[in-house]
Amino acid sequence: MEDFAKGILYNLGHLSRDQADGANFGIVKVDDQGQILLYNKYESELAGVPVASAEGKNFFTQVAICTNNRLFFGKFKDGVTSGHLDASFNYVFTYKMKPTNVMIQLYRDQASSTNWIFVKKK
Amino acid sequence: MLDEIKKLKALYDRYRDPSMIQGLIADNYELTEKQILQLKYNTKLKNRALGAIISIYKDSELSEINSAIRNFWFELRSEWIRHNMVNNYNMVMHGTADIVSVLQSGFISGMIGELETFIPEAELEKMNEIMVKVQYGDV
Repeated sequence: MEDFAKGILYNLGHLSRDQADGANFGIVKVDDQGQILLYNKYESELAGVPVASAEGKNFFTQVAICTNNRLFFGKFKDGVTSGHLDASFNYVFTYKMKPTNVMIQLYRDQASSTNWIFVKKK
Repeated sequence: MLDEIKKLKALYDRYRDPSMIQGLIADNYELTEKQILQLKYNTKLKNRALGAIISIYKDSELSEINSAIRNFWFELRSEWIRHNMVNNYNMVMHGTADIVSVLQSGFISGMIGELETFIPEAELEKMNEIMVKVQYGDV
């Protein structure tokens, strides 16, 4: 688990929008298919995608097109299928935004059965 | 001359402006002269392709122009997918990616966005659905 995301793990099942918007990294909560349930302020500003237009769409195929591959979406699918998702890796976003290097943390919270994508600009 | 050609010509002129490429390389990237030349050359090639479309189709029917715009969109989207895959495999495996490819990828995605202003939303949605499958290898 990446350090930047550790502080939030204890509360994922009850994370409010205000708490998510107060974080200094991107927080995206998605269902098992990748549909966005929560998209925080940091991520919205980083990607240049308004929260209202992101939530309800599929993160991998409609919002963050850069992630629609085996490296990212594939890892997510494998994690959801196995019930264990805790993977971190470097990534670069380039689609319709200024190229941006980031650290990604994919995580499935066993207690609340929720899926999370954390994004920190490097 | 049809409005589509006039708009494409305006886009072509905008991409010919040297400030376009300067904006791409100005953000504190430590690019070598060779890398800057590579980037300029690659972006020039893309604009030259746009110029060729304008030149060939300037007196054509709208349907032909529309087809050329969509074909160019698919071409750029495919190229962007390749850049994105190579760059992110390098990011995951080595923690870094070739900066020229990364910037080229950003440039191409900007051009894709410009072409999308010519395409109705419903049609663009279908085109995106195709390329989402292509990108994931799930056709």
